[in-house]
Amino acid sequence: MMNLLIIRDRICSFYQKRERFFIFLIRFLYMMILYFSFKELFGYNEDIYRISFILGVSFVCAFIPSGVISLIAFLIAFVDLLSLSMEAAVVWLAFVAVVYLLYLRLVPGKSYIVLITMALLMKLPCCVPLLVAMLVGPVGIVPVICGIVLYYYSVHAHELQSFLTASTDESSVQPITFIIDSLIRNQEMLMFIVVFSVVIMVTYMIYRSSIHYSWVIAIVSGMVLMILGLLAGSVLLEDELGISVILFGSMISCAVALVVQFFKCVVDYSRVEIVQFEDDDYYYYVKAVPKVTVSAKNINVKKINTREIRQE
Amino acid sequence: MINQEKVRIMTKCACYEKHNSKKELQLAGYFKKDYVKLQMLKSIFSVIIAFALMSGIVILAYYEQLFKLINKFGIKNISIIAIIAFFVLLMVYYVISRAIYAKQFDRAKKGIRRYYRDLKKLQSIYSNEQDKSPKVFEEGGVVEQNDEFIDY
Repeated sequence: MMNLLIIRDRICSFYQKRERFFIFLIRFLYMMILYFSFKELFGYNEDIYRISFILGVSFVCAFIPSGVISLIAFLIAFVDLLSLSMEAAVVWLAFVAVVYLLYLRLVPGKSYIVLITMALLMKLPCCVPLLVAMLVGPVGIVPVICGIVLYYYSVHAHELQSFLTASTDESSVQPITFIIDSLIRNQEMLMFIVVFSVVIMVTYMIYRSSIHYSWVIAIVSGMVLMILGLLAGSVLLEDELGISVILFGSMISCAVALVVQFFKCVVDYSRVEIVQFEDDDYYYYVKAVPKVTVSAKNINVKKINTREIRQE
Repeated sequence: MINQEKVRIMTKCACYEKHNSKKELQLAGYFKKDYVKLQMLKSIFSVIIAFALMSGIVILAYYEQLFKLINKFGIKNISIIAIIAFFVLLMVYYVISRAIYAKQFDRAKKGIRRYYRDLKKLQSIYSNEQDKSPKVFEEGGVVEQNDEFIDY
């Protein structure tokens, strides 16, 4: 444990020393990850997914605020969808506009959750609720729901593509009707929305409580709840979501959440102080848990005199 | 010599100006009621546009079923349902956004108050420094405070 804490301390100080560079790097990687996930989620227009274009846009995004990065990401998806169908692109734009008008305008700075949810749902869906509960709280439920809806929008856009190519009579298929109808009838999407919202709420409530080891209990109980919820949902819906995907996904998410928590804060419950005191207005019951901090020994060998002493 | 307290307060003020000043200092010119009312007006416009977009999508997606419904129940009834849906959305959004903006105002006001307090501290440090600094006379002499030797 001590070695881990020393490594954490070194990583943190390394990050703090080069913070500006790391912020640029994180923005660059964030845009790269978004771009590559969009390539898998949409990927109708080959031109905008050329590696030179991806690198160029990601490099530019390293120097601009995250809100503008989100706007660029939504526009990339819009341009991509234009290659599939005009209607699909317009509906996408309308969805994003509604999300902005009803939520992001009210709670600015949360657009990255929508995009990260979209990107993670593809590979690591279980990571989303635990991290959102730990780092954002219940405010994050709405952007997570928006992310889930937009992710399933991209899934149905793929179905629309195969539907459009298979269909000979174009007038028989209305792209807007197809996508909206598929979204409304999508039970899997509904299951993810319900399970993720419940997991975020429960994890957050335990995470904020003052019981011993509340952070670890919150993460583990969130994981268990998610496994049970997704398993029950997939059994009820006779869904393709496999048990192994749910189990391994949840365990990896739990590990990721524990690592994040380790870097966020570690406390020592063996040295808890419980004190009571009062002032004019209140009586206080205070539970103070000390943080565990260690720093590596900094040994400096100072050579005072290097001259050789001649002995005569 | 560097005044550490002054540097600390200046850094704090600079950090505040960098991150929050634009929004929060703008907010300082409003009373809470006025600010919340202005934001609510903007919110109403947002809800109208969002509702129009959502209705547009629904109409485009289900116009055939919609025509059938209009034929069955009449355009008046369908319009009433749409209006009720709009007002429900508006009311829910109004209540939530009102609470959020009121909280936002209170939080910002706290930040501004702290910022002004720091500025006042900074001002008093400057005025103290000015009092202590040597006074230069027109003849070229210098008077040091707390100095026993006066050089003309």
